[in-house]
Amino acid sequence: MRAIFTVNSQSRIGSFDLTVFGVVSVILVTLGVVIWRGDRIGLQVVAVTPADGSSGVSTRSQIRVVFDRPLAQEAASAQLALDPPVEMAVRVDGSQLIFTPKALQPDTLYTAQLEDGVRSATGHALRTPHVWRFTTGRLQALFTRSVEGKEQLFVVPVSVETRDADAQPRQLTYSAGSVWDFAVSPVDARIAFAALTESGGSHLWILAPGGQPALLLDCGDDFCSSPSWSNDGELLLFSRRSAGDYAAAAVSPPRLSIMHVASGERAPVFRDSQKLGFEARWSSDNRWITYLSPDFIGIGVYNLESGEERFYPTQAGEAAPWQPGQMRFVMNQERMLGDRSAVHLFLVDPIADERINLSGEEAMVEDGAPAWSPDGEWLAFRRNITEGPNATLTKQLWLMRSDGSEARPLTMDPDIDHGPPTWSPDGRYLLFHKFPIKGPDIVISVWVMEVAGGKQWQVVSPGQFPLWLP
Amino acid sequence: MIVERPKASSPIEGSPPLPVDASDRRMRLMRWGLTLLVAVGAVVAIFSDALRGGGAPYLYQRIQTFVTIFLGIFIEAVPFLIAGSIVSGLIAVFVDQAAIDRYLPKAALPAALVGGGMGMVFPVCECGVVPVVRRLYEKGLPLSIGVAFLLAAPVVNPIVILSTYSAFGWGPVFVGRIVFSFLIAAVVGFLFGRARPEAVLRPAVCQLHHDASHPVHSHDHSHHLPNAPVGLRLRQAFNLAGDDFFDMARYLILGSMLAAGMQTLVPQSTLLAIGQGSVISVLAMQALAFVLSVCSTVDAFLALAFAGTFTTGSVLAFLVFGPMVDIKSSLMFLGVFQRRIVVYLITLPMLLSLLMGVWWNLNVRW
Repeated sequence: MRAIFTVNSQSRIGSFDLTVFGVVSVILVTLGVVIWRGDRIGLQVVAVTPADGSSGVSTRSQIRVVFDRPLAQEAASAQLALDPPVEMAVRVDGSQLIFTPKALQPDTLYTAQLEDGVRSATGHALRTPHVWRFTTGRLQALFTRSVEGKEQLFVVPVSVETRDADAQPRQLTYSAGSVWDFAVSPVDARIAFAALTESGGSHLWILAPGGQPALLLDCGDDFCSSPSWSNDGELLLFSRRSAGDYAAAAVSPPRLSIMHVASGERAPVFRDSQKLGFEARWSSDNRWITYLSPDFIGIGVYNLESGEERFYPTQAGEAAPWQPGQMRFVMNQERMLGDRSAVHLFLVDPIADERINLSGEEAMVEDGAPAWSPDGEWLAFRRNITEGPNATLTKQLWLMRSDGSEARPLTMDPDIDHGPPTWSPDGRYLLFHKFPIKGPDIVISVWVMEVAGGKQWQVVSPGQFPLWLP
Repeated sequence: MIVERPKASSPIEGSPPLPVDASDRRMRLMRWGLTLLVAVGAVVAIFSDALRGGGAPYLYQRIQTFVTIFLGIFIEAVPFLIAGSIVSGLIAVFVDQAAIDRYLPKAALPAALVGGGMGMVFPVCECGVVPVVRRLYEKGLPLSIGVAFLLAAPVVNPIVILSTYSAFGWGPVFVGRIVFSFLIAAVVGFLFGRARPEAVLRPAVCQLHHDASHPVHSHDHSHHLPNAPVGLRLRQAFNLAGDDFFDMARYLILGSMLAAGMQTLVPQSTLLAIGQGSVISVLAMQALAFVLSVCSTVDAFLALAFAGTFTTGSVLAFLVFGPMVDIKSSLMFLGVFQRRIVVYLITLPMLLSLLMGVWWNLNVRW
């Protein structure tokens, strides 16, 4: 530096240089003061979901805190305390903190407190804890019931304390055609459903809690069906069969599409437009899906990011749900045991390419409709034993651990065929329908079972294909 | 009537000749030694990277990166330097220094404010503004106006205002860039109102500035030819523009090479990786602006890419400091100012824009 200031006699340090040094000093001191005073604005919470004071909140709700600026990745260590306490996973998404509770209790007032110290990517910190309250809704069962020959969606409260069988169901849809199939968002209890049109096609609809059905996708004469929500409730997979030029009945085989629900944007799932698929299910990280592949006649496994895929042959034709929190799914597959056929459940790890027979190698059973408990530890499924003294023509409900151990029947009524079970968000109850195969009056009804004690009671009749709400 | 520009080594009239003694020789040796050390360091850095990263193909890739970045900067800047040189030539021939005396204020504060707004009349970027300023100094422009103009014009001009608006729209970044560029330039310009030209300008420029400011001087260095035919005057203007272009182009080439070398050795991602936090982000973006040497006419679009992930104060600092000072313009300043003054012209805007950026980050919600 000395060389710079002593180039020649004309440029020796003079009053101007001293003035510059003085100004530089003043700037540095001012800078020091500004830094010493520190952050005067901090990080602000812009919105929270569920909103402060809201009620009827879904027990599947994620808890989102939206800030006024993007967060640092370290914000994932943020502490959100719920009272009553609930275990939660947390992740950062842009300017949002998203907490996924393990299981919110129904009909409960929660106080949420986000501790201070959450930092934005730019270093601004939340300066005071943010506190708000919300109340979860009562447990309800969503089911279908025939009204004037057309299946419609209904909802009915489920009281696990009083086990009230007289609760009045409320009709949610008044569709011109039957509701074909439906799915509940894992995060906020929105219902996506496919309803037939008078021309023989099927549109996709969406129903927000407390709202009216809104058209999600007008499929024209095409047949859209089997909606499946991603675990963050943002994307929807569905299958679409194109109507033929000659008649509505002449539809093409199903192809999978994906839709961003908020924007309505959609695209084919596969790069190869000729690849077929339906009944898709999401992995926990939303990167992989399983689907039924009519091309291959089996279960396809597809990575939505990389396009990587695997196939597992089966003619059982049932969807393959992923184990919560794991990169494994369960599927059923027919096997020949001597001259008799059986259908077994398999736990498949597509990454390690490993399969475990959960039903037992020599079991003469037909297993299906597997449903994972919310913690991924247990499987509820339908089974009928095809040989021996306990053989039945009807499907009974069974329970086993995720490795196939501790298998035990939950029902044993040969006169009743049991529908696919679904777990309550807290993992304590199963919801299913019963189909009596003997008259005189054959009415399908919706039932709840307490998993631990095996007690069950009727929720509503008639009704079928129940799912839990909220 | 065409007058040659005095050689850079010619002494200011009345000043004693520079003493060439052992101390000066030592200084010169030290300078060359330092330059050599930096060059060797750069070569060692490139080669050691090459050895670690896969040998000759990696080295070839780095050299290709260097050439690409160099050409990118140089080709982007050349048209603006040509434009600035042409404006400079036209000023030399068509602008009457008496008009400068008559219409431009001499008091430091008004001079600095006028200088800060002169970019609206001479819309030039940081490459073009240097020859224009040098020519205006040769016409006797007060120091305050020249410095304020030099620093503000790359931002406070219609083209850059429009490009910033296109990128950011009406909002704090758009307004902040124009206001803070003007203020910082005016403050630095005002400060230079206290300086004597011979302590600030290079001897050659100072000589002409002195002559223009003191018309009683025995001979005339002016290129202003009011009575000559327009064709001759235009020819004279373009001759001078050519001189200016080649004079400044060597600094531009050197600056572009230095900027390309820095970007090759210090990847942009390295600067960005450390660029979080209210203070560090501003420093990182200032360093990025200095190294990237992107023309002020297009830098708003580059800054837009950082808007989501970097602090607003740091993006503002990028947009305010970058056009005032970067590697190539710093070297071009050496064609007008003495070396320590170039250091001031880098340091003062750097510190003022740092202060602005940090203050913004800690006190302004956006």
